[in-house]
Amino acid sequence: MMVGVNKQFVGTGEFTLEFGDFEVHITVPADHIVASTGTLQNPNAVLTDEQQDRLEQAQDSDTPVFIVTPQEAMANEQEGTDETVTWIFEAENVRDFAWASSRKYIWDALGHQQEGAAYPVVMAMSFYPSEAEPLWSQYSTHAVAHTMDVYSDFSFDYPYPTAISVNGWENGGMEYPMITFNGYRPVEDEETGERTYSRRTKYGLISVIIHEVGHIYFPMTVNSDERQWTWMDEGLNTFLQFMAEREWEDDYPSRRGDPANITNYMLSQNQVPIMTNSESVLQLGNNAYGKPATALTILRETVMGRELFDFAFKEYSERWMFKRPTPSDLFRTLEDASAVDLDWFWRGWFYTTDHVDIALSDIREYSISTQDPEIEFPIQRQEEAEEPVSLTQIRNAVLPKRVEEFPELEDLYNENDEFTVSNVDRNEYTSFREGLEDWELELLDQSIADGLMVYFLDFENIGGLVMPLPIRLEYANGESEDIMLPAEIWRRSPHQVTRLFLSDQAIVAVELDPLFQIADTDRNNNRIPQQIQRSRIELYRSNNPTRDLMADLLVELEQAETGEEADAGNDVPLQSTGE
Amino acid sequence: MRLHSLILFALLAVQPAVQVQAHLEQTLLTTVAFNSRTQRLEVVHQIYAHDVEHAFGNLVQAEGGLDNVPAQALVGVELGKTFKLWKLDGEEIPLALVGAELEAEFLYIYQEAGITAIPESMRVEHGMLRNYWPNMRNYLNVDYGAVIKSLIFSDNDGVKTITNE
Repeated sequence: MMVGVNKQFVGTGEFTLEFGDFEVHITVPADHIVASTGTLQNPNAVLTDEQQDRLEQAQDSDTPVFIVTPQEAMANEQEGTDETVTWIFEAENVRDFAWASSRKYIWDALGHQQEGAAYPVVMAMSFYPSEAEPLWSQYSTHAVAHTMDVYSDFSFDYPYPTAISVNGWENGGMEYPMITFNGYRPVEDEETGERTYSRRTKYGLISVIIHEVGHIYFPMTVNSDERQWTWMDEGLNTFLQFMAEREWEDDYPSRRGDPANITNYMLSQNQVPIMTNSESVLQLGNNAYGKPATALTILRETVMGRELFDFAFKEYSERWMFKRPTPSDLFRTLEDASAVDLDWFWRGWFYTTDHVDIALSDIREYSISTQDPEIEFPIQRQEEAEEPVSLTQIRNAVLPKRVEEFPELEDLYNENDEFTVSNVDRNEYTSFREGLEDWELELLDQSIADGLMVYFLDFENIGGLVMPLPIRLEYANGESEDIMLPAEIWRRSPHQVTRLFLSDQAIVAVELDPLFQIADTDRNNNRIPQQIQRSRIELYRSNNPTRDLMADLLVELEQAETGEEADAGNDVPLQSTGE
Repeated sequence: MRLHSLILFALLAVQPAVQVQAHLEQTLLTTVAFNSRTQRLEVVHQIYAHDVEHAFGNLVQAEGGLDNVPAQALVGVELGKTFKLWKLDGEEIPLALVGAELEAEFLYIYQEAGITAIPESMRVEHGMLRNYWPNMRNYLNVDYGAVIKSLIFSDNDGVKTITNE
């Protein structure tokens, strides 16, 4: 059944389609190269023998092989022709069909091996003009193959015979079954003609290819309805894109997926729940891509753990490939495949705009009492002696006291303070021990022998979203310990909870979320003793080694703008207003 | 060092605005907050470095690319001018440029004003990158302590009012 398709398109929700089989005849100038959804049916008619040989060679190659080399493409684009040829492609079980054609195309290919799959060898291929070099031959096809490596681990074998990246418009990307269009090109130096690319262009290209090829899994195969729920493909795909980026290289500059990157959005007023219909979403990028991707990252790393999450996510992917899942199918599958009740998580993250702000509001420390007056009373006496004397008593020191004037008023209570042990106290202690069961007595004596301290940690839920509580306990001996309190701690008291810890080491500090894994928006209330969280500007002022150079440049630029001569000797940092 | 700032806006104005976005929107986030320790109003602009690189093109390239401090300074000065704050009576809150730095995917631009408290209401103009990217959406969060108030600047939006009332 088609769900949600018959709705007026008003701009945000892109498209959703049913599956079908295609046979497409594309007639183009004879010198064109065509990239298309589907399998080429008439290679003998449109490809040279050499091109066909190279394609066969590429199937078993570890690195991309040119089917049309840069030199051949350059020569090809010089000539032109009046003749035409017809390329015939067939595609089965696809949501859509797309193609591209140009005489400028360089074409490279690499066989992606997936033994035992319906398509044991998938041709990862790229098509691009010389203007995209040297970037594209280096990264495009590798990014296509890498996407399949990672996504297939998380979901299912790639379900089609080809996966293509075509250089399209600048800075964008668009997905279709088996074929994607991706932007990003080097820039040409006006004077030297040399083409260079920045870090952003390189990683932007790799990321957009991962993202668009990833869409061939979600929603081209797991066919969710983007018209209704953009996040179901964009969010899941952005999550897997984040996984693939992290497996491309360490410290990959990912845009979305990391919990620390979503906090500003989750604090903002201009947002609607993830579950909002696509056409009504505010802040599409954060709502449909960033927040659901982050939610899945947190589920995997913090709430469920990798083993349970990965099994459940794969189950969802396999269960719903070539079908039309709705959000409840995702929620239900992740729960029933993992046996973890995640209702609270779906409610908080997908149906509300609450954010995470959990405070570690107090720590209370206790030692275990022996109840023995011979031991406890001297301790209590000592504690009282260490308390400051009242100000009134200090200032009254010079005044005469009545008991000094009339010594007969003093009795045994004046001679023995309240911490003097009496027989009544001793008898109470004896009957206390006699009243304990053997195991209780053993436990008490062992705890006292171990020197156990008792700590109560109070947590307050300020932002509204309940989350697991990752805690770092720092001990007096310099060691530390990381503990995870599951989110279920909040189930009877969603606003405030207290957790008891027993420790044979004195705890000197406790930090909530030391690894920035729960998207906590305010870290000022995450540590006792409190640590001042300096603002970005304060950190910039104190840490940045280029700060002085920047200050000089700003003075110079400002003077240049106001028409003044730049003073080369002026190294006074730009002063802030008000100083 | 060659400085290009004087001609920048003329160039930006004639850049072709034909970017087609199927999937990624152009956004940036500005956060305004009062820092009680330093007694300053702090403005932090978090901008995707790629969007800046595109908008400034050869001007950034000429300074060795956005990884280099001279390019960051140039961008900071130019973009800093496109964010303005006023009190409701029309008096401008003069923002001084503290600096700019690149961190991962983002260029951060820092501004501040030496005022004693955050005004309960302010007029805000946020034209940052919007003349280059026609679909640019500039998000603003103003931190009033107990609550965050937000605005979005897009399309033909001019000066808007933010208030804690």
